Amino acid sequence: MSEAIIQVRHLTKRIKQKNLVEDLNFDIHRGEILGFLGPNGAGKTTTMRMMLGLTSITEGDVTIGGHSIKTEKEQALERVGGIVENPEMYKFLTGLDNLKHFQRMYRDIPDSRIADVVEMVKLTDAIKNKVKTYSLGMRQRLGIAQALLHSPDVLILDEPTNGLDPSGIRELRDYLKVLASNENIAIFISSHLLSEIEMICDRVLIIQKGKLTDSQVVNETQETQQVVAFEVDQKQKAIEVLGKTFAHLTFTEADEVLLVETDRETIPKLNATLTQHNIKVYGIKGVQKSLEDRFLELTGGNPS
Amino acid sequence: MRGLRLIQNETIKIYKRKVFWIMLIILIAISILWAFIALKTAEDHSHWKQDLQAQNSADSKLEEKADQDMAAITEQKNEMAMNKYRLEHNIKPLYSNTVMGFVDSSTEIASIISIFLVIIGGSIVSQEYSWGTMKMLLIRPIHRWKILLSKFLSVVLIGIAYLMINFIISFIVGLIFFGGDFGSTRFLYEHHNMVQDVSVFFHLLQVYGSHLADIIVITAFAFMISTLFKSNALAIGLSIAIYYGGNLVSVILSAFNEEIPKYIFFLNLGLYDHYVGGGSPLVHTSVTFSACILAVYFILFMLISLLVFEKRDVAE
Repeated sequence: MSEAIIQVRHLTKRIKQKNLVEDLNFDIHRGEILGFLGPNGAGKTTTMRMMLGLTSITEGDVTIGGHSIKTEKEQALERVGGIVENPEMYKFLTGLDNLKHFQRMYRDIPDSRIADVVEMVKLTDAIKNKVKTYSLGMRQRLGIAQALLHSPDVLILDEPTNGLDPSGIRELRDYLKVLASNENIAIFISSHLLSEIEMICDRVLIIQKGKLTDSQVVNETQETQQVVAFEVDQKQKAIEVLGKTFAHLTFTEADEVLLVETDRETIPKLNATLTQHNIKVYGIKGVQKSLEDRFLELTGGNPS
Repeated sequence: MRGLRLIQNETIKIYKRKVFWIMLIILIAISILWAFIALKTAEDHSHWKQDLQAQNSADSKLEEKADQDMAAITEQKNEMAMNKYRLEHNIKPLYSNTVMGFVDSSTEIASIISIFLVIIGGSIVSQEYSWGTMKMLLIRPIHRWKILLSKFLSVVLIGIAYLMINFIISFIVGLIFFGGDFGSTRFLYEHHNMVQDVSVFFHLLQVYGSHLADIIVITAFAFMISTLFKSNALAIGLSIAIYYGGNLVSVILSAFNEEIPKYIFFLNLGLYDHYVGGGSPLVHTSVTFSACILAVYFILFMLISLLVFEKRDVAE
């Protein structure tokens, strides 16, 4: 993996003896989409606010492109785009005036860049209307536009799917994927709903009560290993037969089916073995053992 | 360079809102009303020399009766000296139904501009919190103190613009209503029992300069309250109360100690009052003293605002 654009070290936020965020350590790399998952109140927003210099850091540090957010805030924020909670804009200004407003806060953003980002978030037709006439989805897109305005290396997005309808969420996801791969941008995205981000994240950090519970949840398992359900007439016999041939795999019996976690190439072999032993196979189905299950296992509760 | 663009941002956020234009319309409306009042209360001043002579002879008769206190006698003497000077140098008094006289009397409207500026300055920080845009503003690669300072400077710019607009409008309204009579171009006032003779334009510059100093200090106060408490209601209410209730505070404090009121910033507002107008409510002070007190308070208000804003966690 490429260089770490963001390094978070021993990041701690303490208010009145209480640790809101405690000793977080992680890196974010270029081209990577890193998910940040945790129940509401776990410390996601506080962490992101510290990374963006909105909230002071009690202990530890965050460096962005090698610049500390504590001591070199101006340089550190030069390469970051962000949305914190809802991207509130100046409602009495037009979308374009809002973008121009933020353009003036950076060095040398050409006007053509504004046209480009507006095009990218598909707001060209409405950009000259006042923001108070915008729908929630349009405001969210304008929020993305302002975050991308200065072609940042990193995007920090706090619950960017809040208030979006399913098609809006899908659009955003597709768009973020393109950004990460085509523009080599690192994206750090938080959510309290795993299902919204699991499809796009390369890795997911899970935070609970201010601490990271598992930083090694990698989403690659979906492609190599998957859980497959076999619907067969004699479950006991099937387990016996398959257990002999495929000793390295574990087979479990569920309600109507037989479950096994395996890779794609093994599935036809398993099927062949079953038919050889005259076990009737009515159906084979891939079951997503999703991050959701692991998230629930790890946090031991309801994610929302 | 980027500093100028920050000020541009902040001024845009002021004048692109309805409030700015409503204030401007109020300002124009008051100016026109003011002209009607001047018309209504206008005295015939075609025989101003005879009027002044008559006044002086009446005053000299009063003076012979020695049963008046010293202050009243001094005042009368000064008035007589001024009238005499006018007659000798052929300088007509600044009647409010002449163009320049109207422009001069319209400077009274500037106290309304102070209130407008307190409203703008007292909400320019807190409204970013209530709009939820503060976080959008502070994740930019710009130090917080620069953002805060650009906000304050843009309020001062708007203040200068309003004062200039007031001057221009009063001039235009004056021309429309009293176009035939331009009025005197000299302005007389009394200082240290001497008649001072200045150009009316220089006098207006000093009146407006004094108002601008007031606006800067009282707005800095509103700005500080707004930054500290994130509440524009508190900032505006407190500033206006101080602006208008100042004299009451002065009376109460003077009863205990003559010295304390001198060091209270809002009692030192109105620098030009040391020369012209009602006079400063403070005894034994000079314009330099008042200016220094205002400067010290101004720096204090700005420092408190900057320090608090620099350290504050933005979390809501």
